[in-house]
Amino acid sequence: MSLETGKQRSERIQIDYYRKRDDLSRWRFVCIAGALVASGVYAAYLFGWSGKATEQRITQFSTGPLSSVHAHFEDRCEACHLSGTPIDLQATAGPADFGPAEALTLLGIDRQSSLNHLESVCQRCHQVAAHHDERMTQDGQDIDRNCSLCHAEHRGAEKDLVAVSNAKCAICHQRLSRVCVSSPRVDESTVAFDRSGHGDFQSLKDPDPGRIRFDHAQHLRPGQVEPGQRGGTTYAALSPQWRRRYDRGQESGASASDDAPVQLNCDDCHQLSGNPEGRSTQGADLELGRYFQTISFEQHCVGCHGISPGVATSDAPLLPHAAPWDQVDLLLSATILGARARGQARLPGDNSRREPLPGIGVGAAPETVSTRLPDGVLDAARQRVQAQCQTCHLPEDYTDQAIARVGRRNADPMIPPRWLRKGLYDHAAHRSIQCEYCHAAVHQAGETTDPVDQSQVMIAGIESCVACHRPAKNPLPQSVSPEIEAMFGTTPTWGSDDCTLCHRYHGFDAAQEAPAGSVTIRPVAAVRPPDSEAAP
Amino acid sequence: MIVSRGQLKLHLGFAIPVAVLTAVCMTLYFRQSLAAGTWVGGGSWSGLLCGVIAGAIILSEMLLWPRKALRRFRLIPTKYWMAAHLWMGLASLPLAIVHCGFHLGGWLPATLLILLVLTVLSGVYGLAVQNVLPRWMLRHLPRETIYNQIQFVSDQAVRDARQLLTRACGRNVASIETAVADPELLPAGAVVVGAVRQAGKTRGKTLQTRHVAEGRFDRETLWSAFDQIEPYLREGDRVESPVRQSYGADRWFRRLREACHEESQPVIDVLQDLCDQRREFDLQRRVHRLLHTWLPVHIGLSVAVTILLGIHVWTALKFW
Repeated sequence: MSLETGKQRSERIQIDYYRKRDDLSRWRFVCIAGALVASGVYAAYLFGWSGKATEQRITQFSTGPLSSVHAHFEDRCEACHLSGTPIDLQATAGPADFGPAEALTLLGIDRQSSLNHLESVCQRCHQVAAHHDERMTQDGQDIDRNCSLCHAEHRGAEKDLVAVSNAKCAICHQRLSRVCVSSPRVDESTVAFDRSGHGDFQSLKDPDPGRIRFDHAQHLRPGQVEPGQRGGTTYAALSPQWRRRYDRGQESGASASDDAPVQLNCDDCHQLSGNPEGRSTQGADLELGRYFQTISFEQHCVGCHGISPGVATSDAPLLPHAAPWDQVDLLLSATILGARARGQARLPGDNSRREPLPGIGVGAAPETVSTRLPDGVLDAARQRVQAQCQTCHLPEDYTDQAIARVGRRNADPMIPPRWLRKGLYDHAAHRSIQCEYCHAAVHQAGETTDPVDQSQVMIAGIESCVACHRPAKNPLPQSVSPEIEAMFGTTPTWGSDDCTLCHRYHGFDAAQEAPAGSVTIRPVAAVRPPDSEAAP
Repeated sequence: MIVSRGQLKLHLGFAIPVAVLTAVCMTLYFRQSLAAGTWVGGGSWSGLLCGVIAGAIILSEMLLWPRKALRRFRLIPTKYWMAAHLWMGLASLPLAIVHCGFHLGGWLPATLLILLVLTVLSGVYGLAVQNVLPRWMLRHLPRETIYNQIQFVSDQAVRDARQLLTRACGRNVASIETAVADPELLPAGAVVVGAVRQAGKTRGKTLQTRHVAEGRFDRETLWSAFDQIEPYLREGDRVESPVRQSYGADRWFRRLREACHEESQPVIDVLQDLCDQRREFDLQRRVHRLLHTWLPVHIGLSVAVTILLGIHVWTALKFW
């Protein structure tokens, strides 16, 4: 017999149990209400209902902090952004085969308006030179005008906007004909920094542009003469001023003997300096040491190659370098007449002897010095000077016209200040590397007597660079033997292979091709007045 | 949402199209990024495409809410809604990450992405526990009852135990007044108690009627034992008790059996069974929370994501 009825048994579970609120239903309410309240409060804050200042709210919308150079625009979105018009040109730009670039046009987004706007806001502050845009296709020009493609913003204050990856350059240079209206003037495809992906330096493919006869090998030999040959330059032949410069032992008290042959080193003539005056195209070019000081006669040559007037006196003054021939003639005449007037040289017709000859006696001497040089004397003297000029110069380079050009700012230098015209090279950064590593031809030429300086640019090809400038994952090439590695000195054996290490995009090449100081500045796009832009 | 071999066809019907769509969008994104030499942002056309699809998915996921409110209209079977919810929701995360260009950005986009990640993770967690815990409970919690009836059933168990003891060995002298006032505790010939029965692999609790004997010499011992376990039977693991742990309970009941008469053993069996039941209720409570607390979190996060998404769309279009 049971005490419970069936009804009592059924009451063991409350019939309305599903209506009762348990802790889970309370938890659900807390979660949903909490989400609604929290989101609502945040939305109120974002839209300014909290009364907070705009600059405090604007950072909430931002897709990331601006780089430090643009930090003053952090709270002024409207300075760059146009309401409803994408400034991110990836939204519309890009070669047509990459995607539906025109699709957004259907939504009322004008691609050219975006391009114009982007270019105009950047050019309010940045005046940059063109990058071959006259030779670009429309796609190429769109890429070229897309500043944000290479200089992506909102990536944090530490973001270096000018650090551009190689892939950015490869957008066009991977297949250059795609963005060129005519045949590219450089390699069609450049995808990596090695011989196969980059090719050798363009400048090395051309003949030596220099117009100075100079034998590096000869100057690096002791006494600057052929091996075994007598008559080399000794330290005794140098004036005290030049001896101090070339006799390095003087500073340490181990001065070379007078009859020791002069031994020149590379740095006797090639000293680190800034960019040559009048050739400044980039801020980076002005860095001390990026280039070598321009070779000048007065600083690097006159110690041994002073221009003698050809008068047989020890104290005759040297002639100036690159002076007009009229001036040289005047100086020659004065020197010759002055020497004669002081009795340091014979007068015309003077056949007298100090010791009398039998039957002739001492001979007769003119009584007065003529103030006019006889015909032929000055010409002979000038020929002797020209013979000295020909040591280093071609005949067409010491005519009056050529000499007159020397002083002009836009004159082509006889020794190019930069040999690698398409790229930058920083000698200071490589100064602990022995010169021979990159200029092996200079030292190899010392083994022959035939100078090769005028027939080749004595700079090693790209192989000398890629030994160090290679992808970080690549090990040191096996071609770099311990002997070669020793030439690197303290320089690390790995360097970046970024394109931007040597190349500049904005106007660098154009600046090299245009006359100095005439870099073409890209025309400023139409700038919308700030009033027309929507405020946040 | 159970993902099992039997529902393979249902899930593949959604998983494959969603995977293809995601793969196509990401391929377009990676292709444009490769061409640009960097991870293009959400403003790029491919990033925008991924973002628009991810946003559309988020909004469509939220349609589950009105669908539930309007379930009387039977708008497409729930299993299809859930399968679509599952696979589209999973696809929204990679699309959103790609849309971000692999960086968090400012506070709003970062908050939005983090909330979306948490939403998807909570959903994945829910999917996992829904596929594991119910089966585990079916095997290991045979006395499982309705979650919010645990306390009600526990109180009943205490009442059953008290009635059983009264039948077995007479009233508890210490609470004679209480017993008189409670008509359920009046002497009778039988009581109803719970017991676990098994059918195949499934076990469950059934109700059984038991006849009990009259009072004996060990009445005080049994009532004293009941007084010790009663708080545990009512409150479970929220109170300290010698029978709270299974091992301790076995030892405690073994000593009780030694102290009681042979005829009291069935009564002790019932008391021990009620303690086991209470222990399973506690375990069920914990497992039930693991099984269901994620859903309010998931819903709350989804609500926040949807609101912030609306703000993000507005600001992104304005400051594109």
